[in-house]
Amino acid sequence: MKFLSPKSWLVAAALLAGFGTYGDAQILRVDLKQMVANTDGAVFGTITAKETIRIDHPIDGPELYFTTLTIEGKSLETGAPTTVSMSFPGGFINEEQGVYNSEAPEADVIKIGKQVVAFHLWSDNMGGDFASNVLYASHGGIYPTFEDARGQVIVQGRGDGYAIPSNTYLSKLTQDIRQFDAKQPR
Amino acid sequence: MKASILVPSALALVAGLGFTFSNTSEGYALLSHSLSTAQRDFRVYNTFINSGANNNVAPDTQFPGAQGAVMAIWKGCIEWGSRLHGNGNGDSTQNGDLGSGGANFDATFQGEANYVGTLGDNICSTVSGTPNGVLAYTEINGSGSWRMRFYDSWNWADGPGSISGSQMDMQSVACHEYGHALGMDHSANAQATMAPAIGNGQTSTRSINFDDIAGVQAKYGVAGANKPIVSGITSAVLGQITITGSNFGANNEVWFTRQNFVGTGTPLTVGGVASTNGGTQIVVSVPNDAQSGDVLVRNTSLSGGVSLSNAWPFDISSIQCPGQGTVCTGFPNSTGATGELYIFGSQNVAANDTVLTAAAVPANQFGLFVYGQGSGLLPVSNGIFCLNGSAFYRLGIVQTTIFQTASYNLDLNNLPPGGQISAGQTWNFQFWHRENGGVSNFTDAVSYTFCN
Repeated sequence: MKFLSPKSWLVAAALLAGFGTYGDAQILRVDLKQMVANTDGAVFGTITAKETIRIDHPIDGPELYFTTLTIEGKSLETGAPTTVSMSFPGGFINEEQGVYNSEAPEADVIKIGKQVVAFHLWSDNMGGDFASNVLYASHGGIYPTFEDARGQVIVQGRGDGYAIPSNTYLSKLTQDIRQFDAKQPR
Repeated sequence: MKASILVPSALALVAGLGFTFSNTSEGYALLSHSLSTAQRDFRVYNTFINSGANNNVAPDTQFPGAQGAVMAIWKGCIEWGSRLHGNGNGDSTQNGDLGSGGANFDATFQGEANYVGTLGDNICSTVSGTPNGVLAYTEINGSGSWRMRFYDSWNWADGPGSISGSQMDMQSVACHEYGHALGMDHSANAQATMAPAIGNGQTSTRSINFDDIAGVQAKYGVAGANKPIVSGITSAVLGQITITGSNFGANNEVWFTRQNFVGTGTPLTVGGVASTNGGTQIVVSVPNDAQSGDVLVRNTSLSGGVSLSNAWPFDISSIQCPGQGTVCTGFPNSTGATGELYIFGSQNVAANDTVLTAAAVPANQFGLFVYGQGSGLLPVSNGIFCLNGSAFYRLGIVQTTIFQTASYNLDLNNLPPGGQISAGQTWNFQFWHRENGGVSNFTDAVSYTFCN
């Protein structure tokens, strides 16, 4: 039986709002160890801001959209409080301007106020000479969280090919990340 | 059998326009859009800088005129076609298997573009920047068109065959991204081409699997029994092709690949083409601005994807009028140089505009142009006759000028008996002239093909 996926609601909402474009992407298959090795850090926290910009670049072309999320929370490597801004290609400036690119995370994952785990890496050029912290692997780099009946935080896995393929407790994920991170050359 | 799609009543009005439907009984999921037959074109803006992205320079008869990244992306896109693309070859990892969709969906390769394109130009191009885990993406315009971007900084490989473990397979990624372009979302089937992630060195997703096939067939329908089928292209007359297959209509449109860097991606079409032999054969002249690529046939009495045939490779060099060639080189004449023959004109029989010109021949001497289809060498007087071995024909006597040249307007409607020239024939020409002292000599001999 077919059901409407979360993305369905996003696209429906986009259509109802007059949005006109969306997209999809392919990402590198990485496991958690590789994700930790490939990134600068991981954060667990709340999305507190979201902004989309447009770049028209002489070489990379017109209508390059990038969305930047601000996540306030704690570093999963150190446990220290942190605020990290990280960007991904795609997004909407307003109802008229933007591109929905499902390289970007699903809209319900990146709503302001959502709690997530996200992996980031600095990039001098994300395309169009836009420099920013990158949400690594876009939709493959951000994972929604929820609490179980005992108040334990669970990170929602995304399936085969993703760094977090199945649901896991944040405490376990943190432990794994610290273990992998400790083995990275400094 | 698939269950019906559940659509919340509040959104039912737009369900057909904008929703993504996931399918839990199979892995595939569908995006909201479909590509109309007007959006079946794809082009490549090849600005890949990595050497591995363009190091396949081996020609492939199934992908004529293309190499490197262009060929790899072409293969990736046509994998979704309804039937085998030509004989289905072109990649050793899936020999005889390129073109596996089996749906009412086929795409048309429209050559190379020379710009990135806007969101809806149906162009595959690169984008700069560090990879950061994303290989490529496709942006879909709400009107059912798209733009595909590959992050250029990956270590891309254009194939064919296997690639190294440090490389990323362009054909596989193109196949995945074109799946998005035609309306497929990511699949939960880890072996599907539409699975969201791919690893270094992985080529298995060049070939769409059962789940991808189920998806494209759900989107466009299983290829109809009345869908035109192209199963071969031959050329008996230069400038014309004969397309064989089935289900051709009384009135058809033939789609060609337009020349690189020309146009906006709209397929180059020839309309109003009738079929013969019970809808199994079409004869059509190839337009001037066509190039090597694919040929498709659209039965104009049908509509939608079922009206458009599979894509079949077409090498334009097989129907082009060949250029001139040298049959043999003469001996030096009394000027001290070797006489040369030049042939000017359009090669078009109907234009009847061929001019034969000899140069570097002795001034003020009589001579005549000869032609035939032989190419044997026979020493004659001071020179060498190059048309030996077959009948040859003499044209009118001319006198060379003080500039050591001679010309003759070849009138195809007034040729010697037996020497009639027709389209598709190649003839050899030479100038035979007197020398001082009662001897004679020849220019070099040139072959020249006449066409429609």
